[in-house]
This record gives sequence, structure tokens and C-alpha cells, in this order.
Amino acid sequence: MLALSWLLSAAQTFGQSLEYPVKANYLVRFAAFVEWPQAAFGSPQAPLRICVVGRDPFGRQLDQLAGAQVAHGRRMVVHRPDSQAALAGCHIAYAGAGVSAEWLDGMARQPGLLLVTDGGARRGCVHFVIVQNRVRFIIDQAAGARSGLTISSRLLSLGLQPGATR
Amino acid sequence: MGRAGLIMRTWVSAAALAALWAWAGAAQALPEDEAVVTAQGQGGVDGPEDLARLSLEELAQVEITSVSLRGEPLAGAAAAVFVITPEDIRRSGALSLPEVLRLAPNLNVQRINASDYAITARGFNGYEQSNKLLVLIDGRSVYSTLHSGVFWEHLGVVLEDVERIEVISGPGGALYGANAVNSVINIITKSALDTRGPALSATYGTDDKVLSLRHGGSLGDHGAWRVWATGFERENTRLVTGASARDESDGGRLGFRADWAGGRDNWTVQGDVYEHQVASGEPMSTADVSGGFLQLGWSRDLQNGGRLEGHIYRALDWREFPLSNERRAQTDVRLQHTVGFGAHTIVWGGNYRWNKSRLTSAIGVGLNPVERDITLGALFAQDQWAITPNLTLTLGAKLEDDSFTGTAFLPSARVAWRPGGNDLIWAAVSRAVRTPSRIERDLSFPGFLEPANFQSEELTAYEVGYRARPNDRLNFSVSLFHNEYDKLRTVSLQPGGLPPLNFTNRGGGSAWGGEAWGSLEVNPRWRLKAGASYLDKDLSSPPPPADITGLVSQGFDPDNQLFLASEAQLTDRVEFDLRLRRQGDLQPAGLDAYTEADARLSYRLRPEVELALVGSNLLNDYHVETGEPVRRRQIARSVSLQLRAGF
Repeated sequence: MLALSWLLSAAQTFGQSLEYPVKANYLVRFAAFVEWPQAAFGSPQAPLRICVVGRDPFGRQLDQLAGAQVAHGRRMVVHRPDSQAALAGCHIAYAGAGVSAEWLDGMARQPGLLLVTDGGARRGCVHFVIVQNRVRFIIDQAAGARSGLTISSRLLSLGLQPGATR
Repeated sequence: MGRAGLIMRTWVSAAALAALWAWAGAAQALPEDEAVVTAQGQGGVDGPEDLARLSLEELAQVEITSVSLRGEPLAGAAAAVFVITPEDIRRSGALSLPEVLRLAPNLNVQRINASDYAITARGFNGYEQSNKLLVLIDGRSVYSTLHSGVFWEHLGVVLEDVERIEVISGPGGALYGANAVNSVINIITKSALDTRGPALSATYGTDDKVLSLRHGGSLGDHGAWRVWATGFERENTRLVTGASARDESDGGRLGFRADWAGGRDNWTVQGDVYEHQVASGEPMSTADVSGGFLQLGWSRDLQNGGRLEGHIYRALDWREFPLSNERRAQTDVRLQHTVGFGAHTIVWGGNYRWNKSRLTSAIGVGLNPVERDITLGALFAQDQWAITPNLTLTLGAKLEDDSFTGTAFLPSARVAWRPGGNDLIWAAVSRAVRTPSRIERDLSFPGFLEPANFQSEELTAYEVGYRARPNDRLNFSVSLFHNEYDKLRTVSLQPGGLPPLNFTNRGGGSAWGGEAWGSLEVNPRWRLKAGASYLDKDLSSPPPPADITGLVSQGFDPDNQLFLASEAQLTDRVEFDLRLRRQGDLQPAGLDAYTEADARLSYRLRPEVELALVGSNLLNDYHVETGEPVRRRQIARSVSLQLRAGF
């Protein structure tokens, strides 16, 4: 735990915000707490795809984190789709502010896709918020169910009540 | 027999209740079969990659920006700061705040008797001498203006709901208020948003019995509350002759906390009431301390990324001792603004405290006047300038005003440099003062001891430190200091050697030393920790009649301390922790060095329920920790069984 304190101290001294590193860490962890339907993966070895839609605030660190992670026995890869068609193979999609309503609608309806939103009025299954200087999230269980996903109780218990705002 | 019988029955029924509750599965069970596997991190390159080592719950606790939350200094890295985490507290088996503070290698903790402790950093330790320490609990200052020290027997928190304790050795910097001279201890409790649900912890031991209960829940969509109760009993210590010191103590505390985090404004309300029966220092008599507080805290995140925060609190404390009674009322208001301008982060604000103390005594010696209002005000400003991404300069200044001595200007400068990716070099120079206490200004025994115009003690501190994380498994920190003191407390006769005595400021000199600590992860299931401190004092005062005490106010301090700890996960459910500490010879005059060990074996029954067997002070039947011969008590070896559920 000394690592945590050193980390906080270092960030504080050098004015770096940990907001996006924390969000990147969440994105790669969510996979372990969500169950996808069988049909979402082509084969038992098929990797889990995390897609970043719109502006990418993470850069290489998301790729590095995904490379070091395994969930449900699957590797993780990060894609940055440039067309709506390319969204088809995604399992987790991160959509920051500025993604068009059309794309958001498409992703919300896509089966087997965990939509993670961040900013903006439109909320996906998981919506990041900043509360008391920490990154937290709100989970929309109904939206998850509509996409065919099962969210574990541990992740649900960490989510804030809907209504908590930025 | 009646009292002991009642206590036994209470404990047996509490234990039965606890066991029933635990087995009924009232606690929220975490699923044990998580599908996540995280590969070992690839050698720490940059800060953010350390996040990969945190659990999901820990990620939710990471504060993301340099805007500090509860009085935490922005340039916190440029200081000798040791952070005690909830995990450290849990694995230590400690049952009270002073015992938890033994984990900090930069502190010297001396247990005096069943309820009293003397705690300092960098010297001046002793029951009457430890007066250069600022202790804050959620931003509330808890040192006493009666003697400028901390009455640890008044304090108590539910240790399981502590979020972290920051132990800073050295002057804390511009953001900390009065009495931050040799050290600042910043105790922060968890937000109610993080303590929903029931929780219980029960300890039954040969020395200590503690029961803590907490329950929390949500308040609408944005808030949460918790209420808690904690009670303790402590057995007596022994006099050096072997007879009982008759200082057994007990007490109870009730409190609550509520937090709202909706929108841009965050609110916190908390309070508690307590009553403890404690060692009175006199044989055959006990003393009572009691009181309570109510506090409102507020913060707002501003659009430009800045932050506004403040608090207001009122605290009342009573001390009823055989020979004197004190009633103290405090009201404190603080407001602080943090704002960024390019590479500069500026924090500025003010603090005002009204302190009304009334001490009545049964004998000829007392305080004159009986009742005194002390006001402590401060205006502070700090600029943290990121000159380059790897070099930060923090300039701070505090204008501290107290009703005894007026205004003091206290500047400080800190620089932090990050030469490579994994290490940090820092240096600091600061000025601090320790303002007079009521005893130093008002103690009066006409003809024998009379008040004179006691001034503030002064410190100029020069510090330097190095912190490194060479790889994923090892991290350590070293700090060195050179303190120059002036106007230290002495007791003088009149010129010519006649009474009355006065408290005067004729002491001075310097002290130098250092602290170091580190942690090594031998393998994922075994961690070793070590700590050490060194102190060399060169303090003096003129001979009588200028000082008849030989500068006793410099305290009794060990020249060195050593700490070793091993934390091991033996199986998935069993943990074994061992802690060794050595306090060197107490200088001046005093006490030989002692070495002691604490051990803890714990078994996790369910994800939220843990049972632990804790042994404290295992190496000797009895040992003494403190210098003054009159106050020495023998602390015994003890064992206890601890149950923790829901926390």
C-alpha cells in the first residue's frame, strides 16, 4: 500500500491528473465482472475487444494495460474503429463526449456490447462520473440486460446510485 | 466481583451476538471466484502504471487530481510523510490511535500508563514535554491549549473506519495551523459513502477489550450516513515496584457521520460524544474525561478546475481530575481556495479558532485567571510551481496570530525534483513557532511561581529527502533534518536566585537526525518492511538561576529506533504478521533501550469476516517506555482475540 501513497504524492507534486489512467484501468477490469452471451465470441480463443470511439484520451497506456490483462481466459485487445460497421466486433466500447447520437444509438442497441459513456447527456450501461475527486461510475442494469449482458454483484455494489452527477 | 461479573456477561453476550451475526451471513459476501487475472506489472516506469496493482475497490478510492481534499498539503511529496493505510491498521492488531501510530517509523510513541501516551517526532518526548505536535482528525485540531500537548486519552475513533493517517515529521508547511512544529498527524476517516452496511468488531484480551459497532446507509441518491458506537476497557499497568498502578480505564463513544456528494457541492456533517474514565496520575483515584463535537465540512469543485473548501466545528471537552477540573470550548472556522494558473497551483485561505478554557483547582496552585479566551488565527498562501515537469518549487507563507504573542510570519520553501522516472529528491526550509500554552502563561502559585511573559518557541528546520521505487517490489524513503531551536522553555528564579519562579524562554540549540523506511515484496504473498530513525540533540540552557531544570523541556528521546515487520499470506485465508521494534536508550538520563515484538495470526472465515489472535509486547513480561521516573509504569505482555465483520 506504500505504492498507493507514493503514487498519490507523485501525482500531486507534478500536477498530473489520474483521471484517465484510472478510467483506463476500470475499462480493462470491467471485463472480468461482466458475462457476455456465448454468441459474442467467435471461438473460445477469440480475444475480448475494447473499442475507443471518438476522441482517444488514453493513448498507449490503455493498450499496455489491456496487454497485461486476461479475463474469462481471454486476451484483451484495443481497437479504435473509424466506422460504425467496425463496431460490430466490439465487446466493450468507450464513448467520450462528442460521439454522435447516431453512433450512440447504434451501440446501445448492439447485442453483446458493454457501452461505457463519459460525459455527455447520453448514458450507457456504465457511465463514468467524478465524485469527491474520485472516478466512480453509475451502472444501468436494465441497459445491460437489453444488450444480453450479466453484470456481477461486486461491480454493481461499487456503482453509485443513478442520480449522482458530475 | 459484581462489576467484573457484569462485564463478563456483557462480553460473552456480545461475542455470541457477533458469532451469530457472522454465521447468519448478515455481511455482504464478495464472490470468491473472480475471473480476473492480472499479469505482473512490468517494472514501474511512471506513476499511473502503479494503478494496475490496485483492486477494483481501491481504484474507486484513488484521488485523481492535485487538488487536496481534507487539508492534505499539495507538496506532500516534498516532506517526510509516512502514510498508514486501513490495511496497515488491520494487520497491526492495534486497538487505539496511539498504538496504531507505532507503525510510523518517524514517530516515537511512549506508552506511559493504561491511558496516557507521549508521542513526538524528532525529539521533545515526554508527558509534559511533548508539545510540538499538531494532531488533526478530519481537519479538527485536537491538541490542548492547556499544555500544548495532546491528551490522547480524550481521543477515539472506530479504527476500522479510518481511511488513512498521514504522519508528517517536520513542520507541515503553510497549510497546517498552530502547533505544527515537529510533526503533523492527519487522521482522516472514511466518507459515509464508503461505509454503508452493518459492521462489528469485538476484541477480548488480557489487556484490552474493545467493542465497535457501526451501521450505515444511503441518503437519497447522493448521500450516505453512518452511526457508530465504540467502548473499551483497559487493564491496569504496574508500578516499577510491582504493585498495581490502579490506572485501569474504560469508556465509550457514540458518533455519526453523513456525506452528500451531489453536483458540485459536497457536504459532510459529523459529531460524537464520549466519556472515558482514565488514569489520574495519583494513586487511589481516577479521573473522568468527556466531551463531544459537531462539525460541518463543505467543498465545491469550481468550473476552472479549482476548489473551494471549508469547515466549521464546535468542540467541548471536560477534564475532571482529583486536583483540578478543566472545561474547554472550541469553535473553529476555516476557508481555503485552490486555483491553478498555468504551471502554478495556488492555495490560500484562513483559519480562526476561539478557545475558551476554564480551569479550577482545589489547591493553592492554579491558573490565573481561571478562565481564559485564546484566539488563534492564521492567513496562509502557498504557490506550487511546476517549473518543469520534473521540478516543482513550493513557496508558502503563514501569518499566525495568537492572543498571547501576536503575529508571527512563517515562511517555507520546498523543492521536489524527479531526476529519473522512479525517484524523487526533495529539500525544504521552514520556520515554525510553538505558541504559549495556558500553563506557561497563567500558572500561578503566588510567591513561589508567577506568570511572566512566556514567548513562543521557535524553530528553523532544514530538511532533505530521497524517495525511490527502483522496481515493482521495492520502495524506500530517507530523510535528514537539521533543526535550530530558539526560546525553548526554561524555569528561572529571579536574578539573585530568589523566588518567585517564572517560565522563561532561555533554552536553545540544535538537533539533527533522520528517518528511513522501506518495503520489499519478496513474493506476492510475503512483504518485508523496515524503518529506522536517528536523533542527536544539542540543546542547552544557561545554569541556575536562569534555568533550574537543566532544560528538562527537551524531553526524553531515544537516540535511535528500529522497526522490522513481516507480512505474510500463508494460505488464501490465513495471514501471519510479525512486528519488531526497538527503542534506543532514552537521553538524557534514563531508560535503557527495549525491544518488543507483536504478532498476529488471522483467519478469514468469509470474505467479510475475520478472526485474529494478536499478541502484544511478547518479548518481555513487563517493560517501561517513558523517561520520567515518577511516571514510569510497567507495560505487560498481552494477548487478545479479535473478530472483525463487515468492515
